[in-house]
Formats: sequence, structure tokens, C-alpha cells
Amino acid sequence: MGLMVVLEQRDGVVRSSSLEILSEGLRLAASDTAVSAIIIGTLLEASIRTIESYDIQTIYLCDESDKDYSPENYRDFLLQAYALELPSVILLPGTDVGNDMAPRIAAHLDAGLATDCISIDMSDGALEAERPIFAGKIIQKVRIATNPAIATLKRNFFKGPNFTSRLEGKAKKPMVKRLQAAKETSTVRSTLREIVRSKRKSSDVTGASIIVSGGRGMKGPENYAILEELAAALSGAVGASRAAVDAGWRPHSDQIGQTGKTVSPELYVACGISGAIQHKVGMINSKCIVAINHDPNAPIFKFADYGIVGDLFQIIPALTEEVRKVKGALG
Amino acid sequence: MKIAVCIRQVPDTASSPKISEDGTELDLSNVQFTINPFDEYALEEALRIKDADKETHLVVVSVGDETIIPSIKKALALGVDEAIHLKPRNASRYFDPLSIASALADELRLHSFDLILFGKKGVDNDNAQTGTMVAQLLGIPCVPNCTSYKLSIPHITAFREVEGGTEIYEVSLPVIITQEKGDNELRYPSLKDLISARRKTVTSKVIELRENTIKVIGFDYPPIRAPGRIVGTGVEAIPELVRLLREDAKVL
Repeated sequence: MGLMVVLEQRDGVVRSSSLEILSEGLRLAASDTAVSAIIIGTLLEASIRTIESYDIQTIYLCDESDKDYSPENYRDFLLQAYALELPSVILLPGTDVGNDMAPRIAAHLDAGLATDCISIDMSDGALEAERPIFAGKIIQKVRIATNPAIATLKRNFFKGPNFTSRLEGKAKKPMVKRLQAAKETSTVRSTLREIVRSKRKSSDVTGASIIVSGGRGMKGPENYAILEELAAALSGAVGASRAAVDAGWRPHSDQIGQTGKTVSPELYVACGISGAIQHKVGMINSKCIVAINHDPNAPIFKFADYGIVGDLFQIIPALTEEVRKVKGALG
Repeated sequence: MKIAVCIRQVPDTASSPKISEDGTELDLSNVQFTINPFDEYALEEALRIKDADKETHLVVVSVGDETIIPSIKKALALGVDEAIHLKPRNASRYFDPLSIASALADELRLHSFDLILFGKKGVDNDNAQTGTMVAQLLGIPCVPNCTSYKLSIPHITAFREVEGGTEIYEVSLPVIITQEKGDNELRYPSLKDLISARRKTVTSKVIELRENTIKVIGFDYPPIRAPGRIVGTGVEAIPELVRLLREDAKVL
């Protein structure tokens, strides 16, 4: 069997979430398994060196300008690399890019795909995976019945040991192969014309390690300024509950919960959020949850690590002050 | 302009499915079913295209057993022209993405839709695969997770929501779009709409689903989070909270 890992880059540097699944792929691979990697997009030389330090056989680079990014072109590159390696397992990151690419290649290879897996293992030669369904209310255990078996791995769930160390004592560097786009490309393409980066100061909730989130209790869009300030003091992002998004106070891209995003930051501060099941499933995997709510009986206090009961319009600015003070003292 | 919207039913997001005692099945007997929320957003976008151009022919396509009928009726009442209901002979409770995609592609191939819409994912199995797979099987482009799109026939400009921003794609029709929640509010059918929907055509076809590519071997509940504690009331509790975050939780 062979195993192929699809890696994603940003600004020419391989993303840490991709290195996590590369390590997970190396953990999964038996000692006689050939592991290969393919990169979506163009990598800087230094980042190619990073991947070369992993104990893999082949690195595939795609000869393509990022200016002309088309998901169909990269689908075809992945299929080219597949045809050269014939891996029985293909792993991709559970990110926008990975989750876009995976069903494309699965349909072409007539292969089963499990998306957003939180654990994977080989059992009797087949890939088995656990994945949250109903936004995490239930964990589904699946066995992928096809060859190849394809899986995308959810971010923040594969922080296992880094496998670069396996290279120590081994002289062999991976082979680097450059794939050329087929000359006769079909016209069935979607072309990326523009990327509009969010202009807001606070970062995106998906990758944030600290999130300050507001719900119905914020009472109006103008009051999110105090959450922005707390988030800035904590170097975090601002999220919102469905109630706040449905009221038009915040954009849907900030929504956390079953019809929004699932997040697992180090710290999640829920302000004026009751903690309904739809919201809970989107943030329950946070390492530490703080709830600020005027209602001592709000469901959020049943699963928050720390709670403060009271008026959030007094508590949040005071908390921001305290955080600034403490951070200032820490230098 | 011919538009297809592929819809299916899912348990309401307020519901909590139970796992059978042997851990191999989900008990959905006491669960309320609705149209998948993301499919509803897709449907709303299609209805807005039809609002602007009455010549638009709008079809919903759905794979499922008889329980899907109320959702199909609702779509017809909202203004959809006709419905195609694909009934698998070998019905499985689990919706295998590639086998459902194959069944849909086989049907969609018989028509010449300019635009095929899906919800970005079912809120039950969270696969987020079917729409993109159908596009591959039909050999047409697909832009997943779009908040909105603009038609300028024969092209479409699609706005795809990604981490930290928006990607803007330009594509030729026909195309598959999978719908993220956008800015548009959903409409609701009146009683009169529901009654007049009875006259609309629902074509039912019995189909054979191909073998599943994914075997579901069991279910489990996620680990329960240990209950925390109320640190205190009002601003007086803040210094203690910050101390706990630094010294116990070590997140500051």
C-alpha cells in the first residue's frame, strides 16, 4: 500500500495544519509503506526544505502559477500524482481547500471519502475513521470500503508527535518531482478572479486560538465594540451566536454553531449567549470556556469551565481592563 | 433558464438524536424533520432568480423515501414549478455521498439545467460532498460554499466564503453551486400557495442505489465535559477569573 498526503500552503509556506496531517500520515503508514506528498499551490524553497525533512519518498510540486488558480487544475494535478503512486490512502486537510478538493478526486477515482475526521486508523487493511456528525452531537465511526480510501482531517485534532525526527540516521532525502499541466486542458474550469480578504481588524474565528463571542444578550450591533476591545486585548477573534447573526448584527462568517462554524480555541468567552444545543456543538471542544450571562440558570453555565453572573455591559469592559493590566505586567 | 435545486430532509437542528443500545444505529423516531437549512438557502436564491425572470423553470430534485413529500410540497408552494422524487428501492438510512451523487447525476443528465444548486452540506451527516461529486460526474464546474452569485448569461460570478475572506470565481454555465448561508431572508408559503401547489407535477421514479462507498460501523456520544463553576457575580469576580485563566487553565 502507499499513502499520499495533500498539503496546503499560504503565501508559499506549507500550513501547520498540513504538517499535522503529514505527521499523522507517517504515524499511520506501516514501515514498508511509501509515503508521498503533493502541494496545492507554489511553495517557497525554504518550505520545500521543511517537507524534505520528513521521512517520505516523493514530493510532487505542481508547475502552475497561483495567479491562474483553478480548483479543476489542481484536481487534475492530484489525479496525475495518484496515477503515478497509486496510493491506497489519500489524506487531505479539513480546510476550505482540502474539503473542496477531496470530493472532486473521490468522484473521479470512484472512491469513498470521509470528511472532517477526528481520528483515523487502519483496521484489516481498510481505513477506519471517527467523524463528528450533527455538528458534533454524535460521533460516527466509518469504514471506507474502497481503494483508494480518502479522508480529510479536521484541524486541531491531529497534534501528535512530529515525525521529522524519523529522518535522523537516514541519508535518503525524498525525491522531488514536478508535475506539468496537461496540454489539452478541457474548458470546464472555474477561474479564481479575485480574493477579497476580510478588512476587519480581528482575525477569522476558524483559526483563532482565543474567541470572544456574543449572543442575543449583546442587545444590538453597536455593542459589539466592547467585544472587539476584549478580543483585541486577548489577541483573539470575535464570534457570534445564530441569534445575533439572524438579527443582522454580525456577518454569517462569524457564526459559531450547527449552521455556522465549529471551533476549538484555547479560550472561548461566551457573552450573553444562553448556550442552546445548536451553539454548544460549535464550541464545546474549546479547551477552556468562560461564560458571562445575567441569567444564573442559563444552560451555558452547565458546560462552561468558569462563569460570571451579571451585567455583561459592566463586566466585559472591566475584564478588558484587567486583561490589559495583567498582560502589561507580563511584558 | 432551467434551474434544479437538490433538496433533502434532515432532523431539525434543535433535536438531539439518540443512539440505539447496541451503538450501531441512530434512533430518529422522535425527531422533527425539516428541509436541510442550507438547501433552503439554495432554494431561496433560485426563487429570487425566478422572481426577476418569470421564464425561469425551477425544478426540485430529491432522493429519499415518502417522508420527503412534505418538503417537496413546501418547495412547490414556495414557487418551484415541478419536482422529481427519486425513490431508492434499496433504501438505506445512511446517505452515502457517492451513491447519492451517482443517482442524482443519472437523473440530472437527462435534463439540460443551466444551474444546479445544492446546500453546502446536510446538517445531519456533515459530509459536504454530494454537490461537488455530482459536478465531477456530470463534467461541469462547481463552486462550493457560495454566499451569493451573479448571473450574466452565459457566465456566473460566484462568491465563495473561505477562511479570512471571499474568493470570487468566474465560470461558464452550466455550473453547480453549493450554497452557504447568504444575506437573503427565507420566504414562507401561504395556505393558498400550499393548496395551489397540489396541482403541480411530482414525478416519482424508483431507482437502484449503487453500493455504499462508506460503511457506517457505529455511533458514539462525544465525551461529556466536566461541569465548571460560577466564579462569582458582577465585576468583583474578574480578578479571580483572570487568576484562574492564568494559573489553572493556563490560557492567558
